[in-house]
Amino acid sequence: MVKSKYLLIGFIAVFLSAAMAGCGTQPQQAATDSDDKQSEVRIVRDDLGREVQVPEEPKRVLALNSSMTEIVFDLGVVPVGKVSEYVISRPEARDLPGISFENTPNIEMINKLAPDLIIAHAKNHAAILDSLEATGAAVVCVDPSKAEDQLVGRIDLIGEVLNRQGEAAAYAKKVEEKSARLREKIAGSPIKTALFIQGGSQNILAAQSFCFWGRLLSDLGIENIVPLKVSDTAKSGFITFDIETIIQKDPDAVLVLQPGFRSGDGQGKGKGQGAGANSNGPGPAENQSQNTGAAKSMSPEELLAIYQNDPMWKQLSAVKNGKLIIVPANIAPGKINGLEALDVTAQLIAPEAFE
Amino acid sequence: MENRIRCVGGRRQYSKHSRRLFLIACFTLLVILATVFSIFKGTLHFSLPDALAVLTGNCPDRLTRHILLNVRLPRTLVAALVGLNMGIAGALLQGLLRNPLASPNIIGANSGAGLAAVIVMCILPGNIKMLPPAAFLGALLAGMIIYTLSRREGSSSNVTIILAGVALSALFTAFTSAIMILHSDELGITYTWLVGSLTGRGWPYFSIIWPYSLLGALAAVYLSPRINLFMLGEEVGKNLGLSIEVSRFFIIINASILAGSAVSVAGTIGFIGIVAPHLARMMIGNDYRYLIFLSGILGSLLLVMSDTLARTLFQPLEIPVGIITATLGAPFFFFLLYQKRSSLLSS
Repeated sequence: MVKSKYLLIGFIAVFLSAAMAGCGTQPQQAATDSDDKQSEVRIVRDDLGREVQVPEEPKRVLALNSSMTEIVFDLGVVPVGKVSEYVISRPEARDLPGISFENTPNIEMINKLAPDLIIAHAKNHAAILDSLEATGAAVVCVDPSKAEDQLVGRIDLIGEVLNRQGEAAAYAKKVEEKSARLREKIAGSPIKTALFIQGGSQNILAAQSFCFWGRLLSDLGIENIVPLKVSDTAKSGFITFDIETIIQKDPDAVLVLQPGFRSGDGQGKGKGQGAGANSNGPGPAENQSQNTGAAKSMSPEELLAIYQNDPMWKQLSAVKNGKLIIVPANIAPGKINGLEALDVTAQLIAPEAFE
Repeated sequence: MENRIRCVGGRRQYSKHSRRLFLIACFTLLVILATVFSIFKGTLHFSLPDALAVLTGNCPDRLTRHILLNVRLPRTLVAALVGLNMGIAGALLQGLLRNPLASPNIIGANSGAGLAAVIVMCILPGNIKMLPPAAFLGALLAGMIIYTLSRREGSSSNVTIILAGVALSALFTAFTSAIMILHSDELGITYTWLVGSLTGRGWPYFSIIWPYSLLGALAAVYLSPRINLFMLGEEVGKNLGLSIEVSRFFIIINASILAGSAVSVAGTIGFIGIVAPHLARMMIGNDYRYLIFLSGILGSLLLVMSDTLARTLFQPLEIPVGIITATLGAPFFFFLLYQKRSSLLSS
């Protein structure tokens, strides 16, 4: 009994000391007082239906989501900080201070950065809206699922918030033009139908047409075998899909997204990554070195082997014709620029068109 | 001779009483120290004079004032109250069910609140302000359903409560998983909520939880002598005048209110509801008149310290506090296992 009391006291002591040891001090000093807000304001209606007063010309912008941070960059604005999930290697982003993860943003860091405009995720940050508004910044909630085109996201709303509607329209047009160019370029490819699935999963998770990955296919003129609106309740980009439909529809290509796309693992720029059953793509070694995160969990050859050796999959034309294509994990919103994602996907689908 | 024995017995009783009060006072002091420590520690570093100036109302720097008074103070107080609620709810249920593994989860607090929260986050995202009340109602509803299901011929028993709790929790968890799978784009935020997090919890959350904490704690103190009777067994309790069904109903409802309000502001933080009453029991014994207090105090202490760790361990990164409590809870169970094995071997 005495022994167990000592053990108990020891347990509490270890816990308290661990708590204290974890509390290292940061030699950072409080930032500027952000009282000097812009005098002129505009009213913007955000995706939660709120009317928000935003500065006429926001000077210190902070986006709490990686894909929104990329949109801010695309519109020519350098934000004052970034979330940990933002891994696109832009020179301007390299030294930006981190504000923790998208779902657990560090309120103290946000206060320190003194933004005058915060672009928050309508679903992920609505519960902490009070704390965000208490920083003194205008908080606009953006719902990426409301974007008409997931490749450009809610660039229209963010453009309006940043007073850069012209840049937003120009960027959307650029994506459209690029899609048209690439569509034309790969028009001669035998691939007319395809399926985009999440790799490494026992379940078949297929990309719906409206999501980022489905949009990549449609913008390149390839028909997604997953029908539009599988279910009214299915709002997610990836849905569980059955193998029988896949066998019946027998797509010309199956694109397999490497695991880890949500975790921020995909560090590479994406260009030229991916190996396929087709031998035209860059070699697996190159993939491994470029896409470090995904390679840590499963190499492209291992992933490929799973499908090639599976009796259910190996009867598909895509597998027989070497069109089972491994897509790098960083082909995901906020991990790669939409324009670049189109390029990489087109090259993976029809490498012969780029020779 | 008889007088002497009575005198010695009374003195022993008195010393036991004062030792328990002393322990409660010590841990109350520790909670206060941990709260102060938590308020002074964070991503940004403030000097002691600056912090003291904030306390005395003489700090000219807006950022220092804002961080200490509007970011850290409410979050720490919310952590303390969530821990208090979970600790007391766990103690109430462990006493009522005479089961050391009982926790708020057994009356569906986590699964009921979790289902309600996931429905709001995935299906009604435009009404996210409804999340705390929905989660609270979900927990309360689960508690009431479990109590109703467990009743048979006008009375319930510990076994039927536990079985109903397990069944309903499994059902609610299945619904929650189904909704999450159908809305996989929201997985990040729903999972963070289900693990439990105190990120961004400010004064509005404090004002949600404090009335429930106050009322729930007072009710628990009032109910504690009844739980002592439950601990003797239902037959003995009944013979001593305890109204079994009425007491059981109020204990379950009070535990649901406490756990539901905690889960509604912080998500389903695990282990505090089991670990805090266990620790308290090891230090103070089974008398619920004291155990209720110490369970709540230890729950507060554990969660305040866990949240300080969650905020500062990898600063400026923040990890959900539920990860810290689970990491600490598992070794504690190993410790219990070791202790049980030792006592079995020695006997």
